[in-house]
Amino acid sequence: MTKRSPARFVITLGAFALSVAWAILTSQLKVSSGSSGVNLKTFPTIITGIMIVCSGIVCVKDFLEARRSESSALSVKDIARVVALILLMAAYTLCLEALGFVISTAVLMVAAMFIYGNKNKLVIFAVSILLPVALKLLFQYGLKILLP
Amino acid sequence: MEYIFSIFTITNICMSFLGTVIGIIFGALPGLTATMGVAVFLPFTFGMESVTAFAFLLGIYCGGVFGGSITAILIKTPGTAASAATVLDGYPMAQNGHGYRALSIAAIASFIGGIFSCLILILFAPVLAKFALEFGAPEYFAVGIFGMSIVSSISSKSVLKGIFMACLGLMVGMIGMDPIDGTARFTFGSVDASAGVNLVAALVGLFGLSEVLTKLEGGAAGFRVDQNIHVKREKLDLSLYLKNWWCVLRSAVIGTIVGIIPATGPGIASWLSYNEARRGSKHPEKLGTGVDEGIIASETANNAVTGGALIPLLTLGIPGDPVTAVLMGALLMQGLPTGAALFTQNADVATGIYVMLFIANIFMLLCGLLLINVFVKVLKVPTSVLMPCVMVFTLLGSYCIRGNVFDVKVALVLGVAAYLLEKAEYPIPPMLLGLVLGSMIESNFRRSLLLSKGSCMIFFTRPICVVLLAIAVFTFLFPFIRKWIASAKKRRASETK
Repeated sequence: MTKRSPARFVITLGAFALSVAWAILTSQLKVSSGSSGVNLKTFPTIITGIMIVCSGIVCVKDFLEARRSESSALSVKDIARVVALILLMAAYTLCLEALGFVISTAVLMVAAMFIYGNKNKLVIFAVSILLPVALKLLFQYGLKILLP
Repeated sequence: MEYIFSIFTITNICMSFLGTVIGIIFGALPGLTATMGVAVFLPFTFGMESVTAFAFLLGIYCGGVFGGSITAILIKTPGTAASAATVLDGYPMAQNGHGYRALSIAAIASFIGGIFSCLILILFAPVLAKFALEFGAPEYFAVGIFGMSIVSSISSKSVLKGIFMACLGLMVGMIGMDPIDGTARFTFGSVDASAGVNLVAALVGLFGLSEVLTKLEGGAAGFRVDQNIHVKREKLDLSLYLKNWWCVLRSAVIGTIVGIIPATGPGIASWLSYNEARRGSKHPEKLGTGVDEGIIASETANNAVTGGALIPLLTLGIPGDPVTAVLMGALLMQGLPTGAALFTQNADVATGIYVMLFIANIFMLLCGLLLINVFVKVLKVPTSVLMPCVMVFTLLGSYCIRGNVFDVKVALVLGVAAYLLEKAEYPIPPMLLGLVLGSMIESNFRRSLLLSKGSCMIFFTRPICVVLLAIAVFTFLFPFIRKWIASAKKRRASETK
């Protein structure tokens, strides 16, 4: 099914907003009194200027195209899956140090495989337990890198 | 010579083999690329010796370029763009019951291409590096701009979006301490952010996590080899390479030259070479029906790109494509200098890189000839198991660089941003270029202006700098010129009709 999708325009608008925000941040940078004409603001000022011009033009183009053309949109189920996985990874970054690598990764793997549509419980649990344990051992004893 | 023998440690050999195997798997699975493979496994090399790390990463690189031919030949689905031309003759040959023959021809051709380009790398890299020793800040600024000029070529759908992404990469690279003054920029008072955005965390986010999210779409079925494929061994007559020696040599030269030119890559090399094979063939009508020549042309050229692409990276410090940009991240992560300084300060590592590229090509050949049925089995692993594993590798990889959760958050934020921006057709490779080259461009730009007391004329009064900037302008404008010529030709053709 295809329908008019404003997503592309919204993303471009976000890119434009980001460019403007970054330009404002650049203008607020404090330059030490002894610096010459070329300082820490010079390069970001040029770059944010280019970003504003490019994203501004793309914004107008995408706005006009969004009105004219029809583009394929993601299904609600796909969006829900992507959002769920992003939230899952965000939760993982918060819990990684508190729960430790093995437990948090095992939980992440179970949930991720479920989101990906795996229905084989044996595979889900076997991979979710074996992979974190194997990685922990590899990093701790093989690469001498401590994991939480 | 003694140093070369000291490189042949069990660890280096094993890591090269492991890298090649991983690379072939990444290359063979459609949707996963050599770039992604190198990016995902880059953090794993953190604790390794420099040569060991490159043994592993170059193995992934070479294996990744070859791996695409497996699915191209067996199921008409090229694992990477580099093997798209291989489908034309590889698949018909496999359909005629000669799958193993097609894969063997591809493996040996890839090996010849890889070794040829490696020899060119050894011959030319030190010469170019010696030349680069003359460079000062303005020349390095020009080299950085030359590196960035490929943005127009790698932004297929919209150059404006490509330029935006390159600038975004430059800005993300500026988070942290200013390279000249040492003042914090865009850190919002965060101690973690003042150390800057870790390049490796950014890489795994941009190329690993964004792909993990993309693969969720379409019912999460993704890619899977369902057919009951088993490749039956056949005897291969090696004299076919002697019969096609001109095709082999021409393809190797094309691949190496294409590799040296920024913004090209193995996909372009294989098509160019295939086209030349057709033009030079005594029976051009047979190409596309499953003949040896077609596979040789495509596979020799795409693997010859590997050595060629390393020449600008190692000598000038400019990556010509996304995968060499990731390899540049590896150089930086190992604390190695890029450009000419690599040959003067760490000549042993440069030698190690040559040797390991050789070894990777040998393993690629052995894997291609002996382990083909193992790879076919690995291709049957469902996406629902494979992608969560890749996700864990990326998150873990971003953590272990500095043992810091901040880097995992950076990878996640950039991964989600890359996923969303790709939805709006913003290309990701220019952002990577900006991230990798940003610091080099800014610091040399400011140093140059400090030297000239603020006058931009310093960039236009030094001959090397002027030549490099002129090449950069030409490289940037080249896609537009090509388009203009093509449309002019079309117009002329329609007028004559």
